[in-house]
Amino acid sequence: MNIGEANREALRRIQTGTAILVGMATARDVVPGLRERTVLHAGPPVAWDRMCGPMRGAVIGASLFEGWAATPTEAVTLAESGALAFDSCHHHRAVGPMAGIITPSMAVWVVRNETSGGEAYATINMGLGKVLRMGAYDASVLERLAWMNCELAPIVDAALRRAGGVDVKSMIAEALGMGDEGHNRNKGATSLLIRALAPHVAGARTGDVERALAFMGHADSFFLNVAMAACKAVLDGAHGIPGSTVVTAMARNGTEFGIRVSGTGERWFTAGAPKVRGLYFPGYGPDDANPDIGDSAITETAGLGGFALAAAPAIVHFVGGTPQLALDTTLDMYEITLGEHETYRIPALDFRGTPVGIDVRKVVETGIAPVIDTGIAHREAGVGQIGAGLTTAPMECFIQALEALASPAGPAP
Amino acid sequence: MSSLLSVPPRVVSVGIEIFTRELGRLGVGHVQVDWRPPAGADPRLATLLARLEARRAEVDAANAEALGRLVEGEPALVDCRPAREAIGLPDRTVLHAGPPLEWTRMCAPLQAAVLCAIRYEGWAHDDRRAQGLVEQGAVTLAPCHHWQSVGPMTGIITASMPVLVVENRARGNRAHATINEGLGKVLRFGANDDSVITRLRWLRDEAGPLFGAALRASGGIELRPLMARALGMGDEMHQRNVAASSLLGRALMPHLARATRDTAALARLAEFVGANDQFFLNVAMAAGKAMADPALGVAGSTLVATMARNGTDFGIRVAGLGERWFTAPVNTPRGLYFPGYGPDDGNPDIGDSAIVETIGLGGGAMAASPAVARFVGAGGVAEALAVTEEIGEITIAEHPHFRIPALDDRGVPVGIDVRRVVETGITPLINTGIAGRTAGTGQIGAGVVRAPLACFTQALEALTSCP
Repeated sequence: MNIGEANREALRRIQTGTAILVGMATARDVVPGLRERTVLHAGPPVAWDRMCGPMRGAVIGASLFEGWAATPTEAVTLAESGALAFDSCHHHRAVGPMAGIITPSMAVWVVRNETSGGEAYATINMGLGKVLRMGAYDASVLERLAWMNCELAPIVDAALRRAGGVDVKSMIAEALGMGDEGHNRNKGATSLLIRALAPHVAGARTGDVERALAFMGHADSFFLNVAMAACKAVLDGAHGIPGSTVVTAMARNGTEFGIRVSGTGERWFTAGAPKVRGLYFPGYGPDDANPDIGDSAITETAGLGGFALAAAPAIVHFVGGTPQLALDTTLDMYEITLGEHETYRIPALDFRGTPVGIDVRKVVETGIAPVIDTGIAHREAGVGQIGAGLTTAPMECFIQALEALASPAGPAP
Repeated sequence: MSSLLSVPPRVVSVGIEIFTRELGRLGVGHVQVDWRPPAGADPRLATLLARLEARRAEVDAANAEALGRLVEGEPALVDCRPAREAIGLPDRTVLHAGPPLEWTRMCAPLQAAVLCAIRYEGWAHDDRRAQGLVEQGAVTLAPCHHWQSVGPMTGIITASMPVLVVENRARGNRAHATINEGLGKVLRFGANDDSVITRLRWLRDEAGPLFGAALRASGGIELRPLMARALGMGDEMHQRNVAASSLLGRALMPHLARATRDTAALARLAEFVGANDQFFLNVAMAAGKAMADPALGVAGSTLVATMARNGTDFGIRVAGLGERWFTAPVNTPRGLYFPGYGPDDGNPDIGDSAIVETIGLGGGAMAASPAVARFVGAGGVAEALAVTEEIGEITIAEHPHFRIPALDDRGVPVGIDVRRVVETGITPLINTGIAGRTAGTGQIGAGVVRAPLACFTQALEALTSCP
């Protein structure tokens, strides 16, 4: 297959890949290769000694939740001793926002791509305030983790099975018509998901229905993790096509930004994680910000987020921009993509499909880097989200990928 | 003057474009000013407008007061109760949409809905006897608007039907609407078989009481911020309510769960709400009436405070003219039809839902809702924007709370001014469902329709005859 054919195949798989939310399960039962005392994290692989503050905090929280450590100090000792194995979520068909921590006892959404036959996984979004994904691990976080994973998960799983699954791709498409872009704004999709699940949460007659419904509706970000798993399920289906220059993952661990390309196998191309330009909540500024973090850039890779910014003009107010900036950002992304999404369409562009299928060649040729529309974490563990804004993927990642793709020996497997 | 003959002419042409077309052909520089004589060059109407112009300051001040009441309303969904309790609606009374209308002039879907409601209440067991009651005057017909209520399409309300109660917390007044029945065979489109009555009974016996208990315990759901958010999510809240319905459902679910131990009933209700993208329409209408009613009775104001249709007549009420209706034959909407139907099958425009346009949403908010522009056959983004701009010609303000993100957060045009409508000849545009004109057909499409100009010229006459 030449590059053109390989890329057409990759794009075809992205367009035709489905994402059906089929249930919720405990990570150890479904996530491939997730062994005990293993901690999955966001972004490309990173060792404990190079992890940023929020990720370390989240590792501590997860160790306390799992009962591997009784105190934060014990958890740090455990991590430093090498008794925990760390690995990227992406290596296990999983994705996680911000710190992106997944450990074996956590519940995960199960999203199935019926076209490729593959599945993808993501944890339940904890909502706002003190949350594990921002590195918080106090008693309130541990209580919520226990409730979410032990009480809420069975309710949601029963509801999803009673509903016969939920077509996430269709739901995202509808939400794009409601001002969502699927990354930083999920108000529409969260509401649609609750609307679809509420009859089954009630009908499944299990657990604390009232608390479940209140929790699901509490934060607009409830849907984010579902969207991420859906994007991962679709993009994994397009990974591994020899010769293809299409990007199949963009992810950040708070220290490095990494991409993977369909035709270059499991290899990561990494560079320092960029800062996020944005608006800070009162009392915080750029000096408090952690570099860009989280697997959520999988949404941009699938034609959402910054690529669909034209659908979500309300978001650009965050960064002091105008609706024109939102339109321009999406229009720029058409310059570095191979197609227009057949399912995800933007009303403000007369229902044109979002730009999708990032081509390493086009990024390097035009010098236009993918735009990512993201939250900003505090650089210290547990403080939480301190703002939101835009950033771009480092050009260096794409140049490295181009070099690998162009090497006479062909890309290393 | 001396340069007039020494340099090429530069022409300003006002009005008819025929002159500039010729100048353009000759390559002469020109500016065309889009102007036409006011009120379609009708000298009588121009005189009436001039009479109002003479007391412009007074009218503008009254309009500012009416507008303030209209846009600063704070509607909250506070309760759901049978109409008998909520508005004191007596037995043997059937409320309907639009201005007052006698039985013999009612369109077929409205007549069918009236008879169906009588059977549902058990005042008669078949249509023939039901019609006898109406014809003998044993059943009273009255507009919803006269009972602090609004109803979509046929708009039928009878005593045992549960109504959603919206309180305007800024002014203390209340407005009411029934629970939207969903799609398919429904009373509001004049369907009248047993399945319609079965659903009405379920609404009365299970859904209504559960909504009521949940809403009372919730302390009320603030609707203005919810509607503002939904506008930013592509709803214009007349033909599209998917975001508002989802947001309201999300807010209500925990309260509903707390209000009952019967999880099967809760599941049925959640399914009913979740399956109906237009669930919020009736809530938006009650909110609209709650916001618009306080504007009625502001002396001297030329702002429209009510627009409603009964399938035969279109009626408006004007802030400065109190309870009086100004009616004219209603137009038939044009748009996109469901497969198998066409323009000849459509009923003339019907329903109180134009209250949504009265508060600045619906047709005037088309720019917020490109999906609706498509659905009603109005075109793409540019056409949607043009509709909103045109409505800006006949309104006096941009809404301080209902804003359109895609327009850099500009407010929707609000405050329809009778003077501007008559002066420009531009009448309010309404986004609407299209009912089949045969009773029981149901919805056959969606489209747009204009309010008839005659309502506004009559109102202008009344405004100038009783200063």
